[in-house]
Amino acid sequence: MKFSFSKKAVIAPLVALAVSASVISLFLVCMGESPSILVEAFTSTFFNSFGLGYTLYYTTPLILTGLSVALSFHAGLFNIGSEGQLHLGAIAIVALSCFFPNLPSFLAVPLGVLVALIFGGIWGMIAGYFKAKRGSHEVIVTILLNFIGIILVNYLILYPFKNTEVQNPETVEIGKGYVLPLLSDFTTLLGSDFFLTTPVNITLFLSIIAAILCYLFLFHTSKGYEIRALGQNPTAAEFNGIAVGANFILVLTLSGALSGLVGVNEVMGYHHKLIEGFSPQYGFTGIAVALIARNHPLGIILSALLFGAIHNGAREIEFLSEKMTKEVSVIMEALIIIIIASQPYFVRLFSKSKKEGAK
Amino acid sequence: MKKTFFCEIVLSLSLLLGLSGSLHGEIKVGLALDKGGRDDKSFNAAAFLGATEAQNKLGIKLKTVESSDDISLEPTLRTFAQKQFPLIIAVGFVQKNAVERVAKQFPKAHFVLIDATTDAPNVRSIVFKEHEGSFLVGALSAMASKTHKIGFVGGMDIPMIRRFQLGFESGVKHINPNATVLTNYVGSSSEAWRNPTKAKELALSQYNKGVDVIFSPSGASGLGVFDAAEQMQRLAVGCDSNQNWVKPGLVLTSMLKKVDVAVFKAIELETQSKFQGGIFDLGLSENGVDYSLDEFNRKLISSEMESRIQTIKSDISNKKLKVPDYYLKMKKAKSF
Repeated sequence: MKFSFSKKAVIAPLVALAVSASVISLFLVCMGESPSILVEAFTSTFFNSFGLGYTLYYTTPLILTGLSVALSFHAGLFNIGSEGQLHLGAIAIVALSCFFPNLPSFLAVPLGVLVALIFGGIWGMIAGYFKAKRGSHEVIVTILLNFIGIILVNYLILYPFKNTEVQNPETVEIGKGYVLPLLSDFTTLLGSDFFLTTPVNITLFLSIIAAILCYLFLFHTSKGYEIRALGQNPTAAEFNGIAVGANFILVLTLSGALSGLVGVNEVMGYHHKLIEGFSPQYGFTGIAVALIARNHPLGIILSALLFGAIHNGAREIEFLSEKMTKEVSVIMEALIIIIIASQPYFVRLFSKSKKEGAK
Repeated sequence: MKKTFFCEIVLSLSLLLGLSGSLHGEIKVGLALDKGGRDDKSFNAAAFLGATEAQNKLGIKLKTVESSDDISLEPTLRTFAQKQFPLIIAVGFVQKNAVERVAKQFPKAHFVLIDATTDAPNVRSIVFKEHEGSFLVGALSAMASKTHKIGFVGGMDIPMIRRFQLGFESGVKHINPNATVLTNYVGSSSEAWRNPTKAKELALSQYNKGVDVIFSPSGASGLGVFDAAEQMQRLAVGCDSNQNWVKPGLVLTSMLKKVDVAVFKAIELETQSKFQGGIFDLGLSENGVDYSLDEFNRKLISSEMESRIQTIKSDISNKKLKVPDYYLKMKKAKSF
């Protein structure tokens, strides 16, 4: 695999986008709807403060889960456990706030981020331990840990931390010190109403910083080199003195920690409490985010933006059209993802030097 | 280059088609349903019925959006408000927080919140005295039961459904103090509103224990109870909407929660520019709850049963008969 931004790496997604736009238009026509709503949805997703705010809000967790999956990919591991890890990270913040509700901001915010990192990390580390010491396949272990993690967190939401004042399945609110500012708080200070009423918050910057750090770690440190070597050829890496087991544990722990940060966006950034079913499968979408960016940490920012936009656009289309129900918009989301995921095929189709294949 | 040309064609084509938009002069009403969806044949279906009736009779423009998960409720309401829908109807207690947050940010929009209450001046909160309606169907079930064992399959285990349960149980005991009521809940998360498989299992196990009538306030999960009733050829009692038609001859009656009437009325007031915020608590005397009697269950309810129920109804309305309310019980338990 090559990780530089070649011309092809830019053209392929564009072609894929064009193909999916035409397939979706065709689909809309078949449904008896004008494809114009696609343009309307696109406009209100990017060129409207409200739509852009929501798009960026969905982008934030997807960057983190995308990074979580990509980091493991570099070590040759397939981390499907992002969903469970992010649940653990989120509940850790709620638990911290339940024990110390009145912490001042300068303590509460870093501690909140830290526990999210730690608990997500632990959930990843368990999978790493079984992979390294017991040779269990990480795919199986992380899938099973998802079940345990999500159900455990739902139990904690419904019983120990439940808000008994309301009928909804949700936890008590976190302390005031834990609340992160929204981006609209800044724009209001500047006298603008951009992003007003949207949930995008400063975790967006945190996730972009995480992406940059991941990039530096993987491509500019010796540990990163070890991990990549391990991913390319574990046997050769081991012969060259790279500790396979320890690196597996390290990588899955870091992956888990990245997923755990999603809790910061959801709990500290926006809901200020944990709602049962708070994640619309961010962890699994993260796999697609990583694949489309070919696991490049900086590319993930863009591909997460794409997925965030699709997620927001699907809702827009539901509003714009009379015939589109929630089922149809889910089908459209899936269609787009399939087409984009098959972008290497389009490269081959369009590239003149067919022998080279899709790399 | 080939690819960019292709992109251009796609873009320009879609732009051309984009010019064919349409304008509407009617009042736009946004209806946000909860997880059960418009086809739960129960609670959401009642709201949808009221809104479609308003669309046909009052000439409003209705937009219905169903939510696939609880966290998409708030963006849905916010998008309605952003798109300047003058009236937004949020169905289900699960939307309480979302309505509170959005109503504050959009003080000019009018909201209707069904099944929960909030103080915001631009929100019309509509709640129902579920215990009174449940008392009626409880009494009817006790009259129809031959085994003197009656079942209750609740949806999500929350105070609201406990309120149904308490009303139902006291209705049963009112007719037959020796009858027993078996109780099960489908779950404790909002998945419990649409899990007919589990509801069916619970109902089957209750029928196997000798129960011959089951009441199931559980949203779309209740459909599983009807399946069980068909399989065992025993009786079931519907909830929220009139569900007598779902399995004719096997549905003894339905406890009606007149969400459709409340939704229609709210829309009607909006079209007359007479929208009114505040809390509306609808019981038997306000005709907010009732039991259903139509051609599908006519044969199951004898004239004697009907007259006894009429007496109970008027007794409750005249406050001669007091139905215990779980909410009050909860409040008392807290203050001690």
